[in-house]
Amino acid sequence: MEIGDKKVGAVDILYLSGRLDAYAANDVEKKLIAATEKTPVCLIISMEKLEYISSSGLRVLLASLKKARKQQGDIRLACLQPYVKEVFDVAGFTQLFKVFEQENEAVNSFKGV
Amino acid sequence: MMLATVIGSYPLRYDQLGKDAILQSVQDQLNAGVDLVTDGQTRYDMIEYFARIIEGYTFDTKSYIKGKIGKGIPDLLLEDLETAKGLTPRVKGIVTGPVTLVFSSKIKGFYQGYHDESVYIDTAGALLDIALAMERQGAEWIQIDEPYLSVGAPMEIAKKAIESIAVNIKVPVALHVCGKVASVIDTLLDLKGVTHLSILQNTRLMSTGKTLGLGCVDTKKSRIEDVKEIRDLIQTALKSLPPERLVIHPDCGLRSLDRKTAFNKLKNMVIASRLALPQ
Repeated sequence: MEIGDKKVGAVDILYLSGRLDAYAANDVEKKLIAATEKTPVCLIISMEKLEYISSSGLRVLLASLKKARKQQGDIRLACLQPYVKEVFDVAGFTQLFKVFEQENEAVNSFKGV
Repeated sequence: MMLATVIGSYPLRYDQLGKDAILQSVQDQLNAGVDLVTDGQTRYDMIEYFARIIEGYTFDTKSYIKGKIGKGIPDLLLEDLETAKGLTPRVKGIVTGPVTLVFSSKIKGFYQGYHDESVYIDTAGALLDIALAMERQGAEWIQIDEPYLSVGAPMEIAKKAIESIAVNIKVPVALHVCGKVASVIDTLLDLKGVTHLSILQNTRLMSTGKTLGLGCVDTKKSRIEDVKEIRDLIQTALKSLPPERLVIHPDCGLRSLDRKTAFNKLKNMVIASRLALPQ
């Protein structure tokens, strides 16, 4: 799994590529802990190249979302592949997270936050 | 005395050691004092095992469902179970749960997608073939691993699919769910056929008659918990349940640890479980 990052104004973007399995979940968790240390959290996770997400991966995302919202911030998702999007729909994740088709839409959604 | 077991995987690899990976995994568990062992799930991860042996599934770097799901072909798992039974008669058979298996696979054909209930029910049917074969081969328990249940699985479908396996098994059936289960605990406690729940604690558990599997060492951290802290955790659980309704095990599979760490965690866990009861 590869993890990249970028900053657009006040918004942090995390790029996840490959397989977010139980092994990779630990690395992603470390990144997310670091990203949610500052306040307010304005974080986008871009999943265009994410092929697979395990239950451990979902658990890490959920925990970080909870932490971010506790600090009046948010984590938003962008560019989900159809397979990941459908699993997220069935699991109810698309009701928990704000999901955007394009990265720039997700960035713009933070304006005024 | 409380039964000590493991969840499933052990950090040795079949592709490097062949059958010795299973034999050494089992021997380590026995040396640590574990009562009910697994074969160590040394060949593949929890998805690949079943994607390779269920008709309709294929595995090619990842799991796909490409056609109508048919039978589960248990030969590989039976071979490993038999290898483990060469060292001890007390071996647990494990199947990955239908929801976790479907959610971890790309649906490429026959089924309408992840909303299609039949993909879960057909997967459960194939898993039942495998579970029954392991039961016939002498597995003392069957464990169903469903980590997705705590992160938003479709619970009505999950209940139907899991029960279709569990009610057909005569030996005890354990359900392993990682993570925070507060939002789904009522469904889990009502599952028919499931006799053991591998989750933390809940007051309604008292009245259901189910046994609680207590995850008492952390498989995500390499720090080896000392005996005292594990004993304290077990004693907390013993305030709610009698020892015969408690089973002691790590919180998940041991695959991500190194062998020495995994062994020492198991050893401390077993010592702690013995010290937790009044002498």
